[in-house]
Amino acid sequence: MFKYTIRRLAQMIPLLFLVSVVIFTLLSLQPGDPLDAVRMADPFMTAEQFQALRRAHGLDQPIYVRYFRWLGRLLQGDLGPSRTYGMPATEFIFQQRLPNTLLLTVTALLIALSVAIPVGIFSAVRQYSKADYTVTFLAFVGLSTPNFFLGIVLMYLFVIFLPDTLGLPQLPTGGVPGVFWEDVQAGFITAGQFFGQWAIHMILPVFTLATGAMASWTRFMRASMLEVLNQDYIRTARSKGVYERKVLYKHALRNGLIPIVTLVGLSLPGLFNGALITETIFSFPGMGRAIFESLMQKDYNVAMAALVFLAVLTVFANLLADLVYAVVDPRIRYD
Amino acid sequence: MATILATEGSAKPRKSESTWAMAWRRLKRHRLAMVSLVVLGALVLVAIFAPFLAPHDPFQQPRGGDLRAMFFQPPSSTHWLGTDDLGRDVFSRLLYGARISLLVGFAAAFVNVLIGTIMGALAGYFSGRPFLAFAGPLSRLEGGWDFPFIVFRLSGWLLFYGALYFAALIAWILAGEPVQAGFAGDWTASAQLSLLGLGLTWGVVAFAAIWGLRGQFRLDLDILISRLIDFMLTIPGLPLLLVLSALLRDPRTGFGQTTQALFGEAASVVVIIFILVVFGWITTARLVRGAILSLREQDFAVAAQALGSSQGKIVFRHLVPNALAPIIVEGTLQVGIAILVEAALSFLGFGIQPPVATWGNMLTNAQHYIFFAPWLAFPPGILIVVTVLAINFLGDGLRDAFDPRSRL
Repeated sequence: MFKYTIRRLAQMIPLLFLVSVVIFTLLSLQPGDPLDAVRMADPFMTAEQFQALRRAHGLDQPIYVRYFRWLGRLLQGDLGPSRTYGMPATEFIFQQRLPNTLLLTVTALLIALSVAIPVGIFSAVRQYSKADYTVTFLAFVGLSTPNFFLGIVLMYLFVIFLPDTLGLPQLPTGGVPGVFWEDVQAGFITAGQFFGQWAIHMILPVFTLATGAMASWTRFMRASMLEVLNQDYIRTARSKGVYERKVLYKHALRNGLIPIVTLVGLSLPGLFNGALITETIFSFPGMGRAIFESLMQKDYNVAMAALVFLAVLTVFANLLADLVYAVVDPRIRYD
Repeated sequence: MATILATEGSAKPRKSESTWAMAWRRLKRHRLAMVSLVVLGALVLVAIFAPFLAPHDPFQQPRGGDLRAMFFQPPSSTHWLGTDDLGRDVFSRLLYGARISLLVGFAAAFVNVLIGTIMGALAGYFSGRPFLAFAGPLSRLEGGWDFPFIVFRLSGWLLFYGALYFAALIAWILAGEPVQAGFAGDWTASAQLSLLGLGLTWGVVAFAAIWGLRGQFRLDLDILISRLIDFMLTIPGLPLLLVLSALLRDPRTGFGQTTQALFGEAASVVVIIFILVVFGWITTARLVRGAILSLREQDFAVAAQALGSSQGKIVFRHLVPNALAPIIVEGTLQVGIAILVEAALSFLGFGIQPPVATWGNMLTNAQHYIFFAPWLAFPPGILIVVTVLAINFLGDGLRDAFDPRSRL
């Protein structure tokens, strides 16, 4: 196991190197010059001054020189400044945006799991019943609904339709609340108000993001549970006269849950992709929206920092999923 | 499994029905799949006959009269689904959008499955087998780890990979300036020649490097393709699709110019299909690889080999046809995925560009319009959901039809 981990870690190095090459190359080849916005902002800038500015940013160098300089700085944890936000790109991504995105994705993940696992089990136990067909149908609908459309429908429902018909209060559709933990410490608002504000703002984005994962995991959980329920040891347990509850929740569930571990590890990148769209719709200040906006504004340092982080996260999530899989399933051995 | 599928030539006419007839008979019993088939057929017909069905020109903006009254019109008898932010008829745009969305979905899925099948079949068949008939110059010397040999070997490696490194470096330097200029928007003959030279040199370098590594570490085609897949799975998908789309659509780059020259108006459609293929072939490739890995050990494949069939014939005449059932199911599901990704890219403004209408780009900014013009958001979104839902049900029905034991 230890040797396996070391080997996997060693394999990551060339992999991440290649990924960094691809990220840097694609972003450097983007049409237009990253400094175009600076030139636009200053009508008196001469061509010479612009060239001098490009030289100062190292943009006159060939792309491979720029890549290795960038890589050198990356290894020291410096990814250059963000032009639009006026601070180091790493500080912007990791201190301002990442916590919000993590809050969004982790909440969505937990909600998706806590719905998908019980519903999947229920659906598997009542295979081919009306309830099972309903769950399967809903899961299909969830899989077929694009994130952005679901977000828009939810906005309509919770801001216009339900408040109009049932008189429910309107939910906020964008951003995060302007309250800070310092306000609580200073006594301006109570902790309850603080968390309440955040919770209200998170409802729509989290639900939008969670639905896709919920649908696909429900189907997966159902399939996994059905496979276990058809195995011999379950029949043995039943024929011994073990209570059905115990067969389900002790014998079957333990094995049925194992594949979920891998699934969650592998769906992390997809969850972050979904976060990009969800954050864009709901104007949620997270990493996905930072990537999107930095691409629009040619502020590539931010996008590069976020993309490199996502690649590293993906690689480690895969490794972690494989390792946890070996821990929970003693039949798996890596040697 | 579908192994009863007739292998060509040798099989005598059977009395029992073929796999296809059996699958069709089972599919007909799957009610949701049949409904989906009808829905999809209707959508395809609507897409084909859009010019005859559309009551208005989908690109026509109002030119005269009270312009304020023409934007964001609610549904009425002249404009059945209202008008959008530029006063264009939403219903007509919806019909024309069906053409692009379905075309992109089917075309991208077809190419995905084609490439995925070829890659997966090659990886599966050649797993653990050398794909070149000869050993590289640095192949394992049998039993040579003692003193004089290791010096020779290490210096051999150094020379070999050092030479490759310098070849690559020189190619970069020679090509550097013109190619840079080319990507900056000024493609001259010399820039394109440099790019060609760069590509050739790097191709040779990569080939020689792989060849050397193969000799040393028994690298086979499966390892190469599987590592490529691992690599693609590590790349953050959606953001890089956005980046790639911006790069390839730009008329100042070589790719953009070529597609513009070849396809004119349809260039952004071709670009989006290309982009969907970049990450799209992976799932099929993994699926086919697994299927071929198990099929190649079966008796009929061994027999074909013993009878002296060529490798290409074994792979594409004997193995792939036997894996066709899961490939077809996967291909169906891929259509849905392609439609969803296209819609997401177009929604973000990085896909098909206006004025060409697709269901995705009709939803752009709908999160702002929803509060005063909900008729703009619902029709395209509902059509996306219905289409993808139908495709998923059809895929599910096909899976049951081909393999009744795997009822999920």
